[in-house]
Amino acid sequence: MSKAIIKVENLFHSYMQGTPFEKEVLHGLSFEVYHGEKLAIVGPTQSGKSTLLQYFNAIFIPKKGRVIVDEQDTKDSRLNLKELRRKVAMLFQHPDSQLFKETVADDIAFGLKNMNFPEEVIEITIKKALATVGLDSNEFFYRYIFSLSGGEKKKVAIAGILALNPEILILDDPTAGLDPKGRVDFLNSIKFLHDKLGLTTIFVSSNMNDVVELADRVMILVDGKIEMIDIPENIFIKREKLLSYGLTLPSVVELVDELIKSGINVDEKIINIDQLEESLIKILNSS
Amino acid sequence: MELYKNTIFGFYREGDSLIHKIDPRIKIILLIVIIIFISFIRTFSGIVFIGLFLLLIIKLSNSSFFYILKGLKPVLPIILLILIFQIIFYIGEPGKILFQWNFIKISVLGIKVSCFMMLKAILIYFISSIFFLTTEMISFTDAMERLILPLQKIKFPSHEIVMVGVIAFRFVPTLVEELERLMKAQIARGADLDRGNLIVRTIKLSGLLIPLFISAYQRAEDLVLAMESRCYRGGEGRTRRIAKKLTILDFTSFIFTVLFFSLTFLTIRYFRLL
Repeated sequence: MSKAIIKVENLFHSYMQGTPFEKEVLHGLSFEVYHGEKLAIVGPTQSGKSTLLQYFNAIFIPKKGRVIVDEQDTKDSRLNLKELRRKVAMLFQHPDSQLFKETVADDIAFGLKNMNFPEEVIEITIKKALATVGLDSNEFFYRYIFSLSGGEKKKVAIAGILALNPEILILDDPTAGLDPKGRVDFLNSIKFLHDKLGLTTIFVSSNMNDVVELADRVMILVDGKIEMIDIPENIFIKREKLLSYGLTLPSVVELVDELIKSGINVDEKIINIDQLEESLIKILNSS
Repeated sequence: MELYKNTIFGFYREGDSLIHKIDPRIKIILLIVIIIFISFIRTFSGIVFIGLFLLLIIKLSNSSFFYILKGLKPVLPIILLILIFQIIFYIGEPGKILFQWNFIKISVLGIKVSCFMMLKAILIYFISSIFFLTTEMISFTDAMERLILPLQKIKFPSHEIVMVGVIAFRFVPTLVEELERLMKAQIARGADLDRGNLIVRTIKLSGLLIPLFISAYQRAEDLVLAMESRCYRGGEGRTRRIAKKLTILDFTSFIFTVLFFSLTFLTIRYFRLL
């Protein structure tokens, strides 16, 4: 196992501390994220997923517990927050809220200017970032943000954070609100980025099919507690448990169950379509 | 970096207390009556009387005194600033003067009057906090509408005005949430919104206004469509799902409060404390 890039130790979080409305939403989480892996965080709504994400780039600083990113404690007052936030790029749930300038180029430049990149580098960096997410820089450089489609906005938002040359990518429900084609495109570009740049990727998703396609490991977060953290095969074998948390199963897993029910002997550990195809061909050939 | 989930003022707190049960119409009238009383008070003993009354109400409403007090914290600098200006620029009978420099005069009377004003403002803050902690927004606006309904006879658009008020109130938390989202997105890309002195931070915040306005307009458009698609056509002919009737509790609380304040008023006046 490669080394941990993020360590979370006994992390608690409460909203409205010191008021009658106080509510604890994270109850002592401890886990590690390994260098270069793709970790999916899955859980029903209100389970604390988005809250947890905001600890990774020090938008939240732990009051109780510790978060260590790249061997630096986020609680440390000497910590260079800007540098940390450059290293840990975050894509929020609604891409429109991450874009706040008029044109694509201006928006991508926002982060670069904050990080004091020299003027002459900025334009090249913007073009490179646009190319990385698969947008033609001639077409998009001067486009107005409001003329973009949802998928394009998401890509521009990613370009905005990739321009900062991060090491860790954090995505909050990245495929929500995308059409089927947009979703496939998006997943592919995340995979591509991960493979090409070796980014550690942490993403929250409500779509189990995304999880199967993307994740190396899955964390199941329910009511602010980690119920399971394991490789996808070991997670999706526990069907009843997942359903009892109010989660759904990936389409392939549902299909496997149906096949088994109708007497076709496929392995119940199968979670993705390629494995299923392979084992079905095997069964067809042997009969 | 949490705005939305830490906002206190104006939040209804569910409960089952006497104060919760009073009809919102009566509560509004009483709130106005009490605020008028407070503004008439001119002695410290009057403040003490009203303070005691407020403590009683807090007790009856099952809220916590310190919790309401905490809500004052964000506006404290403004209150103190107003207090200082009031003391410095007090214009009135110049009793005993403590300090004088050019046009700045600090007099005993000035300090007394200014502190007094501040105490009154805090009392008004307290009573209105209790009101909003014990009154659901929806029953508040409903009551408002019913109270100003008679004005419809003189072509006053009472339903529409209340509706605009409701929407404004309803969208305060939404806009705060939106603002928080924008701020976080900017911080995540290296903006120092959470650091720097007040002036630097204010300048940086101004960069949030345009995106905030745009999203507010988008929301307004969505809202109009949502309302029209549910056949909203203004107040005329609308009936109420829950028609409230006044109970003994409402009359008692009304009479009690009015009596309390009248007696306080008369007592103080009689003993020449006012």
